[in-house]
Amino acid sequence: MNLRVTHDLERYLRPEEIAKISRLELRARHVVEGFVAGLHRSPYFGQSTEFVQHREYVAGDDARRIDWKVWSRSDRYYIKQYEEDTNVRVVLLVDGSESMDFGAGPLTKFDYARTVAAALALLVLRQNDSVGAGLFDTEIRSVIPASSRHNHLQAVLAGLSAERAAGTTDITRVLHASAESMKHRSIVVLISDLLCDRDALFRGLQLLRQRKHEVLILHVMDDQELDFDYSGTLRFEGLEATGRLTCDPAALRNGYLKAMEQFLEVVRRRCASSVIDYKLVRTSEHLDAALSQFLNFRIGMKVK
Amino acid sequence: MSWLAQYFLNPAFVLPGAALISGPIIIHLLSRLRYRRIRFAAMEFLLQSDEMNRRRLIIEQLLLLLLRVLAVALIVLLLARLILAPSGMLLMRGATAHHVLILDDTLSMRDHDGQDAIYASAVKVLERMLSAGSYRPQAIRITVLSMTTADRPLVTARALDAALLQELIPRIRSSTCSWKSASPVAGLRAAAAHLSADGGVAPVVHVVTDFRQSDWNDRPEVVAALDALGKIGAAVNIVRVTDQVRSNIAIARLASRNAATAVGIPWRMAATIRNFNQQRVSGLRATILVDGRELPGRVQIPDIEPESELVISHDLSFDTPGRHHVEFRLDDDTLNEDNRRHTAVHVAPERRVLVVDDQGQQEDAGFVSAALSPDPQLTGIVAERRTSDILTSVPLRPYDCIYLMNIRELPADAVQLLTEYVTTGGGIVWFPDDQANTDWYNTVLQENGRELFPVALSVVNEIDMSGNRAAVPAFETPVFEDHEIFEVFNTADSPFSALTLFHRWFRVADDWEPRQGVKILARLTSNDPIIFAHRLGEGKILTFLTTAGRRWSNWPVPPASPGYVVMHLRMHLHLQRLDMTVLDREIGSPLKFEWPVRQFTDTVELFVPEPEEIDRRSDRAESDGFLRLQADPLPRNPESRGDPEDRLAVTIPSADHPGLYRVRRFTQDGDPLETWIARNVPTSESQLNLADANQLEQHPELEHVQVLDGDAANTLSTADTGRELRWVLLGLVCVVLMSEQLLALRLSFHPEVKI
Repeated sequence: MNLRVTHDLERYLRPEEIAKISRLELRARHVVEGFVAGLHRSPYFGQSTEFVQHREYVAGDDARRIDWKVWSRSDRYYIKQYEEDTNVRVVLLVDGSESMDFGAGPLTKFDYARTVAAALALLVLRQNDSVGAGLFDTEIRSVIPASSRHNHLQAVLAGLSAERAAGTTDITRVLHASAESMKHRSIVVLISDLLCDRDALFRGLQLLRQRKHEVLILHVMDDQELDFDYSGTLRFEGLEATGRLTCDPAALRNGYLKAMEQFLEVVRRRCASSVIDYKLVRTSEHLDAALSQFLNFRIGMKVK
Repeated sequence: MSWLAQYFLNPAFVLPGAALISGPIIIHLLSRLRYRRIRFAAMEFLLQSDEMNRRRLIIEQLLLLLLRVLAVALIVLLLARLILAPSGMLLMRGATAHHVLILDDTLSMRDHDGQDAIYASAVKVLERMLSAGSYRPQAIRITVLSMTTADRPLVTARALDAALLQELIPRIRSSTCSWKSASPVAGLRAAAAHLSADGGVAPVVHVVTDFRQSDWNDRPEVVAALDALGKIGAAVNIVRVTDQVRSNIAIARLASRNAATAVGIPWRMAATIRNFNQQRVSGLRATILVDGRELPGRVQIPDIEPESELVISHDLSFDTPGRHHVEFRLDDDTLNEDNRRHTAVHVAPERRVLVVDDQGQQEDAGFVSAALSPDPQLTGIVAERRTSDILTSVPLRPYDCIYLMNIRELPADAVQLLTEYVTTGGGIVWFPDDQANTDWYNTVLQENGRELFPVALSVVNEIDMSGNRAAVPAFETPVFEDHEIFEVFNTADSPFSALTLFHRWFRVADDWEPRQGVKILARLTSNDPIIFAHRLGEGKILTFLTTAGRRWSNWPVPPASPGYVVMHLRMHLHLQRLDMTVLDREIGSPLKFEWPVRQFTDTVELFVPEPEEIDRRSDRAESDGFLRLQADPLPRNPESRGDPEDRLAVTIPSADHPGLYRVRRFTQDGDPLETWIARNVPTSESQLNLADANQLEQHPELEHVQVLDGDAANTLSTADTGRELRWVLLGLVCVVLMSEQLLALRLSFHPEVKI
């Protein structure tokens, strides 16, 4: 598949990352498609007649949709794909609030989240599913409607291309707006550090669940946020105006880690109770490893 | 800021150190101000943790800060060398230590090892002690006194600071060792007086001394004085500045029978030389100087056994009348000062003796004159024969002594003059004969205050010689007591006693009891006392109960006459008026003169010899110093009735070095009268044996006394005032630093090592 590599693509999908992702392709396709085909047959199947493209037949495709004319010419099985002919809509919600602008390593959480989103978009688009994306802080800053067009990746990347994360998170509003805007059942992938009002978050997620959307959370956290490995006197200035504190971090480390652990535990527990897939990723983790783990996790879910 | 010095050896460190104490606080504040800014997302957890831990953190950080400040403070104290006195609480109240430094400057400190005298090293030790102590002004008060002038301290209870040191060091350096002898007792008692007057301090006494046996060992009074110091809580350090036993030879005495002679008549002086060595001394030679000029030839001195004395007699004769200064000098040794001895002699053109004889023919007087002065060139004596009238017509003072022979009775004025003559030093000798008015002798001459005659005369005893001429009468012979006058009779195999035959003599009244002070010098074989001696005032009186001629005995004629002549010459020497214008005085006793107003004016001129240094041989007369003094009237003693006159007195200053001092006083007519005083060093300082330190240190009552060598005493003045807390501080620093580390670790200020 030829991809026009744009500036944005280079920015979020560096060649080495793409190479790694490419190796994931088969597995990803298998996982995504299998799980889409088996569980999420589109209720809107066949409604569109607008031909978009041919796609090579893969096991599990509906044999009725094989283009026999093509077969007669080329002796290969191709499937005709139409505009609405998609199994799944994936909506990537990327947190663009100021708290995401933190990163002790080379990547901020925001960068990492956008990279993950781009990778997922690429994966989804590669298997001809439609993907939409939204970048939000207090409100949704940019919305890229779901589409499965090949060149849709450009649009997705452009939508994620805000200069930097800014603003505070108003997750309720964002999730409500998303829920309202999504007419079809979708897989909502929320990529965020979840540093917002937890109750509002889970109310919003609950709403999505009630609308029969599948919700996945990629909880992006920086190493320092999880390990708090600071020393020396430091002045911490809270992003999103959460206050400031001058302290000796080593002295507060244990208390911090305890509080962080509690937070993660609460998130994990509430996700589980709401049947929301949850995955904590560190920005130091390699992207492929993160995705691989994520997808493996999905397989695990599926097997169950 | 000098008060700091009483607590620290290095007070200069204290103030900068105190500033350092603020270091941890400043660093803490700075670290609070100098921080890295981190923009952080998960603030809520951090704030949560901060809220939970804030109180604990503040307490822990304050504790840590306190430990760090404490550590710095302890290190500063360690460097500044904190001192706490044994009586630490006293020191905390600001009390100081009072050190009394006693510098031994007795004659024995002039002992030298060829270059420097011990005194110089003692001064150096003292300087070092003072310098060491001056680093802590206010912590130490000092009193410095010398052993010979313990009543006049150099400084009394002054704070030992740099200013005092600057003032004191030159004074000590320029001080000279005295020529006196002094027991340590005076210094120790003075120290005790100074210390007990200064309450609430840590008292310490340092005695910088040569520690001679004669001063320190077997001296109960020294032990008592040291014990008294112990009772007021004082520690005593005896700082020994020499550890070498040196040999010494000294002239213990230089004496003559009298300090007066006549021109051309041999004058005998006797020098007693003592060998203080443990070895026999031989080949010693002496030099004699008369009026500063060395006599040709040197006196060879025989070998002297260890620890023994030898008396060297030497005759000098003088060609010119007047007073002469005689110095006897031995070869130099370790202590030169006791190798010289001075004396003075008054040489008259002749010695005058008044022989009063009231017997008509004056035969007795003739015998006496012949005995005393067969030829004035031989004996230097001029005997003037007179009757008793002379006693009231001429001054008696020029006569060495007066013979009173065959006196019946004297007028009252003559008795008065005689009494005066005797009480002022003159000598008389009685030879009464049967003309004597025994009542007068027994009453008038024995009145209270004018006891010119010692015994109560009774009758004249006579041996009957009128009987059988062929038979030898039973003469009586004298038996003499051991006395210098009668030495010739008492020497072994002397025939003269037996040859002297008495046949008449006065008997003593039966009821006579000898008065106090009356000695019987000779008795007859019949046990009748015949010769008496007693004193009246400063004069001497001899009494013979027989005549001087041959009427009552055969004494002046052969074969008894040689004994007679010798006896009279000896009597002259014995009775000779002491020449009060020539005195011998040992250094150490005050040189004081006192006289009635009518005798001399109050102007006194004094010629002081310059202290003679070892190698100087300059002319004495030129180097003498001259002083004019004013005598002070003595307060009249209301109880003394005998002397109604006003008296003047003068004390000669700076008479503390050996040599000849001349004091000139003036009569009311303006005539000068000189008195020569030979001042000699005391012999008690010549024994240079070192004392045994153990005897003092191990004395049960002297636990506070320790004997140290000069080198070890350098830092005494500081070490003794307080115990330095070095090890305690070091321990505390370790404990505090370890606690700080542990706490810091607990506060996780040390990053964990990641393996």
